[in-house]
Amino acid sequence: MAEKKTGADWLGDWQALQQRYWTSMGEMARKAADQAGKLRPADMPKWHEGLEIWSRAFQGGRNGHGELVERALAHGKAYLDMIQRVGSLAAQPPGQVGTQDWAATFTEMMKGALPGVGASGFEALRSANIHGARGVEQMMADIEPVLSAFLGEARALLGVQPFGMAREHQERQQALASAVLDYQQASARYQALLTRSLERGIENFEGKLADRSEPGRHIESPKALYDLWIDAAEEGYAEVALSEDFQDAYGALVNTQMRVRQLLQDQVERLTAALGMPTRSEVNSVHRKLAALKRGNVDADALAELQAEVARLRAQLDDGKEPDKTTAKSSKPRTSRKSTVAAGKPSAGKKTATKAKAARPAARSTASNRKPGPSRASAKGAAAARKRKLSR
Amino acid sequence: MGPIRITPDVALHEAMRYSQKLAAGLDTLRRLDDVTFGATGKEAVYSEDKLVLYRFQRDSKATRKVPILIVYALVNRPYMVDLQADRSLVRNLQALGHEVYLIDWGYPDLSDRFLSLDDYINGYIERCAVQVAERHGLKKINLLGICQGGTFSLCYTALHPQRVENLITMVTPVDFHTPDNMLSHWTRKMDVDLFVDTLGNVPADLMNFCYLTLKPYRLNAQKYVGLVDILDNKEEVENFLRMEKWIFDSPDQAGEAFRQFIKDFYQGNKLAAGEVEIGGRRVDLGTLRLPVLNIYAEQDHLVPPDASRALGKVVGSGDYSELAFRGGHIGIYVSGRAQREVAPGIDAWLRTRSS
Repeated sequence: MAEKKTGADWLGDWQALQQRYWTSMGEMARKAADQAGKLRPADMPKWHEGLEIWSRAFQGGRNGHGELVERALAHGKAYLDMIQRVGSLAAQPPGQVGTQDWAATFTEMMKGALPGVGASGFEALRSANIHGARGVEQMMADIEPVLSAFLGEARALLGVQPFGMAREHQERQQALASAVLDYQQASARYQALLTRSLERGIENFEGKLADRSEPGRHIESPKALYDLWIDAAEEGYAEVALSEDFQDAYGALVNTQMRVRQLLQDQVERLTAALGMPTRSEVNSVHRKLAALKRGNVDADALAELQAEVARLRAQLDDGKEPDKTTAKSSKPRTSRKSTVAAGKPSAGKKTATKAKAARPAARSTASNRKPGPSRASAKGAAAARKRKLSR
Repeated sequence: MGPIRITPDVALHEAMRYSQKLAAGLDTLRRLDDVTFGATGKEAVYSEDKLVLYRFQRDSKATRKVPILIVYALVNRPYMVDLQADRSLVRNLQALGHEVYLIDWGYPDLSDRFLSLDDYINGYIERCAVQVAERHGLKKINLLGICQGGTFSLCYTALHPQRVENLITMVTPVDFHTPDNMLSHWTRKMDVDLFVDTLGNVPADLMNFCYLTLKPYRLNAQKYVGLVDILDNKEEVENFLRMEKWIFDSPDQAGEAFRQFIKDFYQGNKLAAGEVEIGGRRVDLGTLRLPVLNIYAEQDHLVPPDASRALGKVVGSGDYSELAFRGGHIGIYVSGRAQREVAPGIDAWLRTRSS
């Protein structure tokens, strides 16, 4: 009959296992060092530093994939921390660690350790070095220096009746300060809901753990435990994210920041206009006109095609021929200042290529050698040539 | 006994296994080159502004008479349909005898801010469709719209029915107000006018952030923990990198088109109600009389299945079919199952309807 272990025995076993882990890690690191020529004896593993060794070793082999390596290492480190803690809990004498202990310990660990699973659930996303993804809050951080410069002492003037020659300026400053306060309130509300979602995730996790108490459904690996936690966290998040409260908070977060940006843009525009520099409004105006011009050209082309078609049909009638029904049935799109690239030439974006087809019929007032193929306008083509307006 | 049966030995074993994978990954990453996209040669046959219409080249003559024009979403890059040799919807369609074209929208900049849905649908798509039809001496082509491109294709076909012989939609939202549509839920209280007036074009990074926060724990934590499991496999890591690059390679969104899309589709849910107007003309899906194949993904977190299946309730066609794909919004292009099921499903459907 096996001798019953004491708490000290369990702890001793766990420490021995950890020692085995680091011995093995050291051996692997030595091999990696030989390969990479990057490691020195001083780099030999210490407690909780195994991944640092890999991080240093990886520096020689990133080949432009540094961000991926960073992410893999960051999550790997957190994951190994999790395993170590799970192992530590598992090393406790049987019966000493209950479901709630597991849930609480695991969640606490996840909050602090795993990138992307911080207290609010978005730590990794918020970090400035994430390439290709920036949320509303990071966008606010981006404008913070400019905002601070323009706000000046405006916060202190909130509620003070504007007066004197600088009254309008003072009003604008107050509006900006007020908008910033609104944003801060919206942001706080949004944060509170994210925190709530994590709390729901914890509750879900406890429920899921309880469900696994049945024989045959036990969790037998750290990875399974981790995946269960992720499932629970996602469910908690989805529940909150699909709530009316979240919808309101998200809308307010976006809208209040846009209001801040709008007021800030107004201030910058006034300043740049005073300095005689082009403003965003002016650039917009040019772009709007360009878009309208292009649409006008397109409509003019369609009109020209329609006129050509009418002329052709009239000529056929004058000659006593039946109008070409096939042509009449088809419709031609509004043409455009476009290029048809000669077949076989992979020339993305080229504007100078000419169409490798027969020349267009006459009567095209704005025809160019970049226009599309034979003209076949119809009643629908005429409709397409209607006066169009910008959607805004 | 509690629910957890993890022993210290198991924990140690897992830590060792994980560390070994990381160690192997060191070597893998050293050997990695930059990943490339696109398995199939393609030629530009038409361009306009930032748009390029591509024809995918093929070694043999297509056996199917009517070509397929793929209309992809504006919010991601279209090379997802031809990501790599063994993950290519294009290549699979070609292998079944189809001629395939693709609209690449390019990367809009501020000069494109005032492009409207009318410009995209009645302008760009129409001109591309005409190009393809004329190249083949046809009046009608087959249209394959994907995601937002599927929504555009529905609008286009309703407005230009004379140009489309068969319509295929993939992971395409039609009902934007299903209860599980998180993106739609978040946009409902947004002041889109203020948003677009302030930002101009909508930054791609902001769009990406929204997508990542649909499943924040899976997409920002679990995915990277799982990455270590494949770090010792160069091919798998390259596949991962390819996907990762695609995910973050997003164009900014032309402001005016975004404004209308959010207002009329996401907020107003006007498409299913037949109330969307594009270029002054009403889009009524009830007028669609052509054969329609609607492919949706059963685990789609971006376009919930019900959002796609709603098409069946509003389309006027008596020849409407659905193909349910067991997978997600991305898996429908790149998974092994997708290679086996999607293109063959499209081909089988087309064979009975098109020459």
